[in-house]
Amino acid sequence: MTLWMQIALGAMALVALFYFGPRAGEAVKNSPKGSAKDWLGALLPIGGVVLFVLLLIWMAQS
Amino acid sequence: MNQDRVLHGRTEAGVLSTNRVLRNTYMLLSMTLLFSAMTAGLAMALNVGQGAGLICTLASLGLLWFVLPRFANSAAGIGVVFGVTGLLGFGLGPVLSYYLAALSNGGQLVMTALGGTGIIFLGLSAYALVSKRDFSFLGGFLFVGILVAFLAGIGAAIFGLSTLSLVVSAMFILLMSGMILYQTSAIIHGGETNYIMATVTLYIAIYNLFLSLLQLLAAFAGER
Repeated sequence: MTLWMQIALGAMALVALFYFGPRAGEAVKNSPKGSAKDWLGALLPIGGVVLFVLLLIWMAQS
Repeated sequence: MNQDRVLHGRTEAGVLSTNRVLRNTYMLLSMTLLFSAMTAGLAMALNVGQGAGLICTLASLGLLWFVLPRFANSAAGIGVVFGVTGLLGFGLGPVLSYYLAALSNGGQLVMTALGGTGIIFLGLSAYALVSKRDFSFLGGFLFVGILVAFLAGIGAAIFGLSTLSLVVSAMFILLMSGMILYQTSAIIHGGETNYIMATVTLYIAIYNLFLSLLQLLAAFAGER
């Protein structure tokens, strides 16, 4: 990666940090809290995605 | 009078509005995906370099962060969406060219990542639509998680940390899966009534899923 690309990416990281950083705290504070059942309902399909990605990697390797 | 009819705890007008947002979102999403596939193909045909690809990606983020929010409630927002997705597709071209040239099974891996992304998106969307669960509680977690993963990804690219880059790809797959659940749930529960913003959110989720999946496949199954 050339120097100008590194500088451009670094500048983008700073913009993201200063633009979205303060909003991240607010988003966490204002977001509704989920119960254990809610989290389980979200983690179940995401666990399925993890297994599916592992299957894809295994299929691509063999 | 019919407007006040209640269906499963929601008014008929609310259900019709949700269906309209959902239909418009999926229609615009399919058009933007086709458009970005075309611009990616154009970038590959023109043999565009990594530098030009990066400039297009940065420009698309500028449009996404600073221009789209101003036009999201007007017809001009649709033009901005095509600008964002076209530039992201154009920036994707050099990445695809790299994988196709560097790996002997590059074509197979790109197609596997494409098909895998489609199956994950359809599966998660179907889960959110059928279960009708409310995933609004994921909002804060996703916001912070995506910001951390984004910054870590840039750090990995600047300093050439390949292991961190793979960790970030795995994080993005989990976060973008959560994003699909969150956004689809927001549409069906009336939390998102703007189909332009819904389209962009789902497009970004699909784009990142594809790129992250491709990187993981190339790292673990790529043949040089």
